[in-house]
Amino acid sequence: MDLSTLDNAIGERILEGVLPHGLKLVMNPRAGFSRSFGMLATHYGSLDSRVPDGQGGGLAAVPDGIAHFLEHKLFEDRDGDVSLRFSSRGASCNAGTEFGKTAYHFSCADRLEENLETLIRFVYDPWFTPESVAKEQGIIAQEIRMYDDDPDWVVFFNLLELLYHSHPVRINIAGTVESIRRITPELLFRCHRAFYHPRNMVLAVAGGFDETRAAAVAERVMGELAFAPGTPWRRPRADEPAAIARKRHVQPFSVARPQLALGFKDGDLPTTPDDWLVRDLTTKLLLDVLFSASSRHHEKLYAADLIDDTFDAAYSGEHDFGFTILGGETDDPDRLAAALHETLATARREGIDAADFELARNRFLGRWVRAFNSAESLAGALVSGHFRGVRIDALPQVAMRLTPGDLARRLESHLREECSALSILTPDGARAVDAADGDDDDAG
Amino acid sequence: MSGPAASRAGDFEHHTTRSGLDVYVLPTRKWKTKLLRLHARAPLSERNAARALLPNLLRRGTVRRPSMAAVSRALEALYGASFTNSAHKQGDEQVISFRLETVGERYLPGQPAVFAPAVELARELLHEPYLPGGTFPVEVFAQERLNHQREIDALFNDKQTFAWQRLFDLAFGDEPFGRPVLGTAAEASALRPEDALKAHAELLARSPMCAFAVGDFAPGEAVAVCERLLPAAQSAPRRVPTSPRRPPRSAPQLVVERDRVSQSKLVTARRVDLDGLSEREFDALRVHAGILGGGFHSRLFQSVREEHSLAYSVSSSVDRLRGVLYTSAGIDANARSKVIDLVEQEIASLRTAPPRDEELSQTKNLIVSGTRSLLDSAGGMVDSLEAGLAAGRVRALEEIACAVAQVTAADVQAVAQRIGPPDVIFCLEGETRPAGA
Repeated sequence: MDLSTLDNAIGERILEGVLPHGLKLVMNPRAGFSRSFGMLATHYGSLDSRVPDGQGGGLAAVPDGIAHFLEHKLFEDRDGDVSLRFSSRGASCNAGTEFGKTAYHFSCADRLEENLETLIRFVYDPWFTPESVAKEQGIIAQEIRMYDDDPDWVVFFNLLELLYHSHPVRINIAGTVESIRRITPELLFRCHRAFYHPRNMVLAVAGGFDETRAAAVAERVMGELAFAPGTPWRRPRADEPAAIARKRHVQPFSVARPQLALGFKDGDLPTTPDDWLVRDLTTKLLLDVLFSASSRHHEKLYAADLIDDTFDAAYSGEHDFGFTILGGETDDPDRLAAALHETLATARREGIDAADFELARNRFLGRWVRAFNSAESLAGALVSGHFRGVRIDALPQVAMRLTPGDLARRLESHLREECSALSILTPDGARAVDAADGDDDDAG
Repeated sequence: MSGPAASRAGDFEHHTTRSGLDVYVLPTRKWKTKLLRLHARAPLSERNAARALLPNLLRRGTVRRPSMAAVSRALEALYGASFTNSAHKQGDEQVISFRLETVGERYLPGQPAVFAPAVELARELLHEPYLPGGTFPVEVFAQERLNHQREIDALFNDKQTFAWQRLFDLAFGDEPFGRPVLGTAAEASALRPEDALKAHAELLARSPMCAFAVGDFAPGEAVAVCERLLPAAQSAPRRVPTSPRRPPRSAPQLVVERDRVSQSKLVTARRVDLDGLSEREFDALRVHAGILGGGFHSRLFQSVREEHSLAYSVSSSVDRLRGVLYTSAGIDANARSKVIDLVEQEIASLRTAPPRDEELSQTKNLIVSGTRSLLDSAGGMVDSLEAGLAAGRVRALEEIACAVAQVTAADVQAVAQRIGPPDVIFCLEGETRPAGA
């Protein structure tokens, strides 16, 4: 296998290659590091709510939460619990399902090659029985209940249901206690066949290891596995209207203070990976200029006691969706929402100050360098970059090309009141349990 | 420039400034940032709230930059340098930690000076707060006090954290260790500007402090920086906590509180007798907690989650400074009694028989690997050294790893005899569901 070097401004050693059956390999060997980290990820997540039916290219709906369920179930094979194989070598392992990807990873201080082999073999060796699926339904139901008690999670998914009519981003990643009951071994096998082809996946290794030996192990193990021909999964664009679905949702919840999430649905969707990166960075720099602790808007909102340290402004998006969320804890969510809209209107009138823009860009460049501190987080960034078609070194290059005018145009097109919705949690006021969950959905 | 020549403290060099401040330095180019942490220590007391509030007042402005926005602008101009603070418990002490981190200048376009100006800014923030009329501006003080109260109240939002706090209240309510590290909401609301000014004067003049520096530091640089930042600071010897402790209860105190939660949180605390604990037993205690509830392979995980499907998360941990073994589980409300029994059974079985070879070696491998992994984290190395200083057992991470590898099954069974019956069991409970729901 040929390895090529991925140039970057930090001078960090990043190597890339392609393993048998088309599995992409990225490695970041670091001198002087004790720990190594391996991650095998597929471009498949909760967004993939439909699976190829295997009969002529159609797509069939699957129960919500199945990508996450599959992630749990792969950890069990004919010989039992795979995590125990890692822990017997002192390695820790875990996995995570997101909107657009599922990643399996381990971390170890030695025996990297054995752990790497275990990682590759278990992810490509599905084994599901009716009994093991039934047992997992109980465990995941507990996990879902844990999320149900997390105010940040609840206010977030309530907001996505307001912003989106039918886009699968509005589906809770773990599904619901009801939806996971409909998951069967057959459905799990079908999703695994469709989305876990090596050509749809990437293997990342980072930390203190020998890259020649690691690459050789990965190459040997992949060479021993058999796969039908496959292609990278091209996630279809969801058929989602530009307008929001609903304007407002208020839910009583077991919290100390009200929480607000003011969301803006992005109607300006990218057509290429470069477009995606420009849109992502422009929006993040814009939010920094408007709402970082150095901005006069932040100062004003803080002085008026509308926001505190819990306030956050964040943007998130993929190829066919994007949203900005502003919010945090506040005594009067409606007053804060009005003040935020007013702030945006003021910023639109006044434009983006060049000095503010320079500060935000400096801070971004510092954060980018800082991300290289941890081998794990760099490996994660390389994996996400691969699925998005964005090279890690493109980030500072694009940031240096942007201008205050780009941010002003983005402000004009994206952060508009008519594309916004309000998700609010209010204290339910009673520690003792009584009635069923209240749900005051007071607008449509 | 600096005091006596450096000695070793675990993986760090140990220096002392002219005023007597301990500075622990790890010069390395392993990371792309420079990290400086300043820790101010004080006994846990009713003054926790004042000391924890102070850093949030200091960040609101300096004489030269009299607003939070001006301070933030200065930090952002230094490529996102950060000067943050936090409060944590270490034994019977509250530690207020100030953390300065800057990106390595050689990675930035044009290699601008970043660290020296950031130190200067930190010095301003510590020594020259904006105090018109000799005190914090009225509205600034009132607002930060209110935000501090809100931060305390917000512990309620995270049900796991809240369950832990209730457990501490019940188990140690009458001891310093039981005091919340941020103080109580009532203590926070009663604070006056004079309390914060007093905490500020004590911070700079009297609080025992220590400093940790990790990154690309030239010889003598970290000590010089600390002398600039804290010219009068001194360190004080650590002592193992000696606060009086209530004798264990004869029967466990079970407290169940109801809340509108989907998943109940069950936490327990039991005493561990630390009297005459040897270093080997100190390590064996950690292995014991690992076998009990330290990962997928652990007894609680395999029993409560895998065998009985009663929990999503279940774990145990041990505080070897205070001598407390904790367990924690997120469970269905109707599973409470069953989980309490399973936890009790596993703890008892480790007392009556040595652990199996396989679980012992898995646990030791995990701890050894986790310990060596800390070598790749600047913050993790500082935390580990601080824990060693507090316990009076400073060792390099590799020494800790080797010592843990030596622990035997007999050591684990012997140390299991030091673990008492449950002292407090707390459950934050939601609605019960029909079985199988």
